[in-house]
Amino acid sequence: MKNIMSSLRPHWKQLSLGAILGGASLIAAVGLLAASAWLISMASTRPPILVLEVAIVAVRFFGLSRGFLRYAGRISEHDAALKIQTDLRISIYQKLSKFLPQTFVGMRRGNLLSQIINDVEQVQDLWLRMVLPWLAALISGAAGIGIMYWLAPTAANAIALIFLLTALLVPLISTLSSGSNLARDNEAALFDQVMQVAESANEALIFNFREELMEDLILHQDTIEFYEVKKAKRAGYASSFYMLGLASAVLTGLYFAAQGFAHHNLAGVNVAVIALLPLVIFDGLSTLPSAFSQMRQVIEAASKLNPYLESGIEEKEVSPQLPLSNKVSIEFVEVSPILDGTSLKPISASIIPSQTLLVMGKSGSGKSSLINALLGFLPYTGKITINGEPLAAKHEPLFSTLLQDDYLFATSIRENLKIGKPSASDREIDQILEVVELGDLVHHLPEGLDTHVGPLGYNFSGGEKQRMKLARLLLRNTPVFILDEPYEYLDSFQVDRIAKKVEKILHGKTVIIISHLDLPITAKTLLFAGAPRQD
Amino acid sequence: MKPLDPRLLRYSRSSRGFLITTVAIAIVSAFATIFQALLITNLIMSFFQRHESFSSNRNLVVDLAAIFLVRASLAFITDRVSTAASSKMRSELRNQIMKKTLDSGAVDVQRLGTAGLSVLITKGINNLDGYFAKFLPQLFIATIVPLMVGLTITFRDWKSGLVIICTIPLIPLFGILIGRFTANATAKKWQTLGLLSGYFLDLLSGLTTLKVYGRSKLQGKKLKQVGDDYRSETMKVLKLSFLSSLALELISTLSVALLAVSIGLRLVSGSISLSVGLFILIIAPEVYWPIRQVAGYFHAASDGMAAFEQLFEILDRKDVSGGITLSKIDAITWSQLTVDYPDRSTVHIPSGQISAGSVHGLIGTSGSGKSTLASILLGFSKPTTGEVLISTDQGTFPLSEIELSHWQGRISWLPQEPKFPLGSVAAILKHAKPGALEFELVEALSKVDLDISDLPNGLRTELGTINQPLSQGQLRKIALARVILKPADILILDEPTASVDDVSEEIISKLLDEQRANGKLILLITHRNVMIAGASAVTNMARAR
Repeated sequence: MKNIMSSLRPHWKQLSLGAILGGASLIAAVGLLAASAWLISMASTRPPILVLEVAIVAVRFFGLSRGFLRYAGRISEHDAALKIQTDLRISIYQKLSKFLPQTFVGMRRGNLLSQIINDVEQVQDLWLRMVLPWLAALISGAAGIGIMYWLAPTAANAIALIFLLTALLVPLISTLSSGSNLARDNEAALFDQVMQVAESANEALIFNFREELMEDLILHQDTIEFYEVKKAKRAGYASSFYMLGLASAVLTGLYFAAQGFAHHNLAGVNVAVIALLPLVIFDGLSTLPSAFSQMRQVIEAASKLNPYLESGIEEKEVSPQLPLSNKVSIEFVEVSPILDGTSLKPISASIIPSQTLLVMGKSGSGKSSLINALLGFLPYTGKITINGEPLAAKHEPLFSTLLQDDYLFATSIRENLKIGKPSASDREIDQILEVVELGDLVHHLPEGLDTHVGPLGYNFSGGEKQRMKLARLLLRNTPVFILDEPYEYLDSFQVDRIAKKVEKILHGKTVIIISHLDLPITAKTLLFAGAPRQD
Repeated sequence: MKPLDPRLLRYSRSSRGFLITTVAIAIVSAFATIFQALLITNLIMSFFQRHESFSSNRNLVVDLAAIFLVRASLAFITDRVSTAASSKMRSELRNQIMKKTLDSGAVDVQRLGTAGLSVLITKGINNLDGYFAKFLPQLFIATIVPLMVGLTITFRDWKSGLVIICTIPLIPLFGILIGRFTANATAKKWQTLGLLSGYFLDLLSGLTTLKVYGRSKLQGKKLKQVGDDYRSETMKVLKLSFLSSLALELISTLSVALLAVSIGLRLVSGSISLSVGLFILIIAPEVYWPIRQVAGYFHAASDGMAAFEQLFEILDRKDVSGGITLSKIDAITWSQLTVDYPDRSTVHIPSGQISAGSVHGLIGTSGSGKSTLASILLGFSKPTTGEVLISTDQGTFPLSEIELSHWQGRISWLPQEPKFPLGSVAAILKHAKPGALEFELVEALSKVDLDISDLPNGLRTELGTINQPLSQGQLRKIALARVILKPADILILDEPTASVDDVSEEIISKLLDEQRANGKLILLITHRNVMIAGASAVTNMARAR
């Protein structure tokens, strides 16, 4: 919670402005009722019209100002809440980019990420639906009770007590619950399950496991239902409690109005004012029961985000352009990557500048793990040296890597390729697209390089996407290139053609290519054989 | 977009009971509101005009306390009933959608994408909570309470009734006018918002790539800028929607103010009694409040209602399937098949045939329609034009007249990217052959060159878990083992040797020969020349542009 709270610090002024404006609009409602009650009571004594003039103006003023104040308040608080959300996203992104990718290797990424996104959105409710409305209710309550105090101090004292009790206990009752809340975990599990069903819907038809998928789905849904009803119960208790608070306030108001009038402490025209004020004083509290019943989820969301927000060590700034050296040799000495706590078979190999190492072998033999160790994504035992020095973070800028699960962003082809080289001109991009044999396709697209990739854009095939990723990589200019299965999903003629062109482009560089098929290039071959795990 | 869609009643059985309960609650709360106002008025009148004490009005006080108790129980019931019902209705919808999606497989996944469909089914349906739990009950309260309260006021004082009758229609009228005026702008804004809010997810998903490209810092700065854009766009939308609630709020508070002032003036002239005036003053806000509230909930509900259309589109779709079941399949023939895609040129598929005991190879550049033909033969999609004919010993039938589930029971399939449900290797293999014994599974795995000792936990290795322990090639081999386990007549294999090394390729190609010798009809999609050596026919799919 602490880290979430600290994210609001820069915006507290705007948030309090929202609360104050919200409170003021509720005060206008209090004023409207008080002035109307006084006006009617006074009018019934048939005074000269002039006496009513002030009350009439007040009624109109409060009637008008309420809406405008509320409008201004809502704008101010929503703006602040969105700013807080942006800050939160940025800090999470920064933190995650430090974690990554060690934490993410092999994880069910979609699920984890969509949870982070949901949690960030949920935390926003804390301000907009809970804290600010509660503050506004307190402000307007204080104003209403102030008016009462001026007319009938004893009544005001009693009502203040009831109001405070209600204002404190309603959120408390809505939030309290026994046992742990598994709703969130189940929501996540449900999302997982639905993804699974959507992904394997076709296979479920052919291999007939639909029933099984539905059973799991229903189980998760039932659990979610159970917690939602539990939450509704809390909100229900809080609503009833609010109603009882309101009832005692109204009855107390009526009692003191009667007593005050009978003992000549209260003017007749104010009887209705005192009797009716409690109704509006409690108005601001009416939305709190259902709002605060979300509190547990928000707290949960906040606590899940916490690890991503805790201040860690600042990442060392590494300039991506800096070529430490043009000629790089790499040596692996008895390197065994550690995957899920198991060390893989040790591997030794060396590459000298201008040489290409073609890593081949059975699937699952640990080819990618060796690369992950080199990139610092996996821990390892043994020694990796770069030009004789032990591998360190400063060597990162030497590498250009095509990952097996490389990602194309939901933006234009141009923007995606520019990740490889931000300064790339359209000419350069066109040239590189020719190399990977995408020039023709992109040229014929109505929007050319501006065509969007991803769910909202053009429906590229697996092979086309793979070649686009390859093009992005080839725009880079670093001494070392690492390519993990670069020619996946391409037909064999295309593989041969493109592989030869890529060989020419990367001439003079230190290159590592992982491939399960042989390539028509000059390379030193490292063959992985047998089971990857050590016995 | 209708506030209450009749299709809802059809697809969600709980909704009927819920609607009846909601109407009952609305009626009771209208009565409670009226009686509460009456009792408070009477009490004030008795203190102020008849100079009676609090204790001499014990009956009225007890009645008022009773009304509050009724309202307290109503508050408890309303929340519980609406949440429970909303939860139930969403579950019902979700189950029906999932059933439907599972029954028709690819159609929805293809149209909306895996992520799109999952988001629709989870978040989309969850967003309906605002509609079910808040908007719908309030819609009834907003019709019943103002009507009953308005009538009561008109009976007590027709002039005030007239003011209310004149101002009430203004609320929906303004609501509609402002809604119309802003609908376009809002729709456009929401679209931008969708793009901007997806940015964060996109960025996080591609973080590893950014990291290896050394661009993660740079994109972090862009996130700030996109965040600011998002905020300013959101605020534009919010300002519009807050503006409409401002208009509604102004109408209602000004109407109440207007009533108060006019009652005050009429009291001075003596044309109305204080008790009536006070009663109207207390109860008038109750006419406007529920309508304003429903407008407020409408914004929250409309988020969810956008999903309605998509949901009903899936639910309303009639899946056509023929009724013919087949005995022995001799050949599959397809001719003049074309498929239109919304965003790319029409795919033309050259005619071809597979007969029992032979392999038909499909080669060609990526995107030329190889997987499309597979999808048609599997019954996942329908061609725009052209026909698939199945020859059997009892005659020839078009694919569209064959019962789909029967047809799919005859096929075994290796998808381009196999997706396994959560479960052990054994469980997944048993989908293909329920009741298969362990040695059969091991045998199938060894046939595809996967040694059981290569799997961390043997047959009990869990797939689809957080730490996927197997490589792409191993997963593909498991999928291939699943293919040969299923007692099917037709095999459709999409890239059986992608991510698989050369050694295994030979073994798999031998396996294909064996399957062919068993009389199976095999469609083989491949990029690899080695694999099509044994094919009796090969179609080279050129990309049509």
